[in-house]
Amino acid sequence: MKNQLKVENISFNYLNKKILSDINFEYEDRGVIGLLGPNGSGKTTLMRILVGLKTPKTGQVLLNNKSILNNREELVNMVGYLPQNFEIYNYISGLDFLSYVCDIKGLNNEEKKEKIDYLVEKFNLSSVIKKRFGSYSGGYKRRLGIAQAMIGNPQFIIIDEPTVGLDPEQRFEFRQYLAGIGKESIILISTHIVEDISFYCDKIIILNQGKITFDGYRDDLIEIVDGKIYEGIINIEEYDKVKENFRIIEQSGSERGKVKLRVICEDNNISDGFTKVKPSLENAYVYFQAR
Amino acid sequence: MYIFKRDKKLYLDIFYKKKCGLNSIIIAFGIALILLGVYYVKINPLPLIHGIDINENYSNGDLLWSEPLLERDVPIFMIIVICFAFYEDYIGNAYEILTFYNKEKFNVLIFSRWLVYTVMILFIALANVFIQYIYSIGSILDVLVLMMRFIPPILFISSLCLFIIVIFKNFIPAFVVSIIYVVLDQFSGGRLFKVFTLMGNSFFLENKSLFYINRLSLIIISVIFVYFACRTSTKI
Repeated sequence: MKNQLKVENISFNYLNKKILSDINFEYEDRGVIGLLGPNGSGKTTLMRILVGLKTPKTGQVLLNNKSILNNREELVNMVGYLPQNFEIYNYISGLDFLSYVCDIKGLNNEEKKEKIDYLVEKFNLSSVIKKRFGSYSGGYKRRLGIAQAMIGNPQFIIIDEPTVGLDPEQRFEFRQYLAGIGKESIILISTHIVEDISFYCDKIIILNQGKITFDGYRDDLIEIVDGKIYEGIINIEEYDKVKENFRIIEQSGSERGKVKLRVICEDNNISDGFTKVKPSLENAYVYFQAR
Repeated sequence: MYIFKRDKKLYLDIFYKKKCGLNSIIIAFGIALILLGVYYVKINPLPLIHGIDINENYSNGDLLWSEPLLERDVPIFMIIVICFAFYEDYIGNAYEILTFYNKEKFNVLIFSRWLVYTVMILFIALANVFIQYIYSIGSILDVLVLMMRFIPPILFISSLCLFIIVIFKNFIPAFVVSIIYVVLDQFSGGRLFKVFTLMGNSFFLENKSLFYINRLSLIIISVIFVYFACRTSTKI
């Protein structure tokens, strides 16, 4: 069965300051939606509104045509949530916590045992599951976090900054887990790391200063920027001049005394030595942020 | 693979079963308080006449005298217990996921934990009170008067502490404010907080109806504090 998520007119103010205004988006079927935005753009606030931890000034969230914000029972049963800093009490074991979440989600003993066994195996938690949470590494904490979010087969899973604080190996591993569970539910992931999004997201939403600036698919985003990104290798002395005239979006070292740059140029009026290139997702994101 | 011994909701289980340290402290404090009650009644008895009607002769029954043990020391211990019980919720980010899993419009998890600890301390305090006043209890009204004298301050300070912890998401302001409240109330002899004094013997209360107004105010405010703490903690 197809799942349907509809977010309608969400606005949120904090002390008369607009944090989110008029947030609308919808998604059907299973897959991963990436919510991309710089720090302070309102991503975590939006995530907390979607899981009922904050009350929006206006708007509603419909999951399979059911409003979930006014019905906590429904929300907890239908939604899985992994907050940015997933913490539980240090003296509780992972097993105790998963068992607690199973109880909350109304699983009977048999279902509970089956589900926990499945999750422990899926997320490679068997070596730590009976240990105190306080002894877990960052990677194990995230794995336990995603495991608890999957209890009760939620139709919608919300994950805030999934790879923050993880080392490169753990990030890779975690991205693989997320790509896997994206085949079972709608997953909304918020991040400011473009690499996370490029790995597994079907749909991308860019949030900037509390407003959606892009809502579409990855290729659409790249297409908008296509033809506006140039790359060239310049002498280091020319760097300031280029910086004055163009927005530099990527920079890497080249041979001695030279630097490789990617710049945005919307009117084709570019210096010699620069050629048009196919933009990456990160280039497209930076372009949107710069607008 | 994993066998579950528990088939009940773990609302309380995971939270206080493993807090052996806190439970041990409460048990030790309870035993000390009860022994102190026995000491007072046997070795250093209150100047009470056996069989005096506490309800009719509140001042004659010497209930107007200061009770630092029950109106200062027990409330301070209550503050420590509540801070200790809730500090880990807010020192990390545990409260966020626990709040998410609350299905009610009222934070059942916070309420049940607060209730467990408060009832434990009240029970210990009452045991001490009844040991001390055992020879003066003549009727059920005497019991009610004693309960009115000694339950509301502990209830009030416990709920105040919880309320501040939940509002500030930090146990330190709660600890500081609650301790200051108890200490200032003692130093001012109840003059500072008037109808909200913890002391049943303060000058303001040398009148039975004022005594009841004071006690009822403490209970009502306690209920309001707990209600708002549990309501506001359904959101973050």
